[in-house]
Amino acid sequence: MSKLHELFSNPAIESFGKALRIAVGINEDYASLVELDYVEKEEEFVIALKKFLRRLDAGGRRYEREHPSKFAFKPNEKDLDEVIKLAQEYGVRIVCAALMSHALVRSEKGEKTE
Amino acid sequence: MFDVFRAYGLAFSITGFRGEAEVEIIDKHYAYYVDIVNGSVSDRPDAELFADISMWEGVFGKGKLRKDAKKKPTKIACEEILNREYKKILDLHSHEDYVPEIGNDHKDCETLYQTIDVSASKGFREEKMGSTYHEGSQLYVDRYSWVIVCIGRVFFGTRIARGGRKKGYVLTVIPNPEKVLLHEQRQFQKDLDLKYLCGLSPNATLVHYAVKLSLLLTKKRPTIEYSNIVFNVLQKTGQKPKPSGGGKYSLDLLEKLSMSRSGIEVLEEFDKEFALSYVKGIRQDVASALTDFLLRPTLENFRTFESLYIRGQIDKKFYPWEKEQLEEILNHVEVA
Repeated sequence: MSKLHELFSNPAIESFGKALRIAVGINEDYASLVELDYVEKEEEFVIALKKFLRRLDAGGRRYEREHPSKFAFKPNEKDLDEVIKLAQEYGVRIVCAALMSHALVRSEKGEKTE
Repeated sequence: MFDVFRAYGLAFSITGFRGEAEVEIIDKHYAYYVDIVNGSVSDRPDAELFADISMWEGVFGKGKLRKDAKKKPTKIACEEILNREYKKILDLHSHEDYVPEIGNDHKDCETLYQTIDVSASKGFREEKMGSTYHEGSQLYVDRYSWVIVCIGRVFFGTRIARGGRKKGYVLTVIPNPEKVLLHEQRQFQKDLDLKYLCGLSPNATLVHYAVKLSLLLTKKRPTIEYSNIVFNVLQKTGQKPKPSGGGKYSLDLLEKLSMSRSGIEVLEEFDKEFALSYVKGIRQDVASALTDFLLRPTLENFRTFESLYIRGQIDKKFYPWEKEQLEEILNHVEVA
């Protein structure tokens, strides 16, 4: 199994990947996609992730307002710590590649809610 | 490429269209081993080999038969030599230490054409020295090897021409036989559908051909095993085509992919991407990125492909991947 596949299957990456898929597919947040595509350093990655989460939060709040009975998906704090740890361990480029790979995958049914 | 054609040519000159003997070609890496599995070798060659003139003309051109011509057209020369020297050819090739004579000496030798191997092209091997123009010398090969290499080229080589008359290219490909039963190989060639081959670049055409070949191979194992594809590229120039490269493309990655159900689905998806690459825009970009990735499955090449594919997905040009399919691709990305 290649390193990229290992990372792709990591639960924290899966969680953030799902969030990115929602952000790109539903919230039309292409800025985060571009930012994650071009980051090379850890500091840049942290900033890109921060902006991405802020945009995801805004999109989520809008969704919850439009669908009062539903909750938008958000990755938890533990996943965030794990993703940062993985970026330090494996490098930013490969973690970003794993995250973006999740955006290529077909969404699960009813993915917007959790 | 010369040696691969020789192996196929020798095997086919033994069986011919009659197929009295069943022949297998095995790549021993230092040489190709042509083994007679079943039946016996006829004492004369199959006349049918030269019956279809169009096949020969398609490769070597028409070649007018003039009274004052120094050399006869390839098909006629091949036919004469094979009929006359058939036993000697078989006898020579039955010795494991037989090595063809290749060089500039043309006594009892025939010209090795650029269509057979690009490294035989004039002006390709010699250093250019001084300011005097010299177009380079011809390469000659002994006539026993020449006949079988021509037969191999005519019946087993695949010529794919793309682009216009001036800017296009000609790609010649032949799968390297790891272990192949000759009559299965003939059927395989007929079954291989080469319609809608990607024409973006020689590399893209080669990779698309390899994808199609791997897909068909999944149905043909274990009677046919290929290790790589040997290819030559000629660049069209408006005059004569010029050599543009050649080598071997390993089928390792595609073979690994074709081992699982989802891997085969991935290959089918790749085939579609390549086939639709005539549409300008993102489809061509993705096909180019995919070519680079399949040639060198590095993280950087995967990222380029991934990044372009997502953009296509956003524009509703591509469907999302199934998770199992994408995992199959990710499994083969080489991370330094």
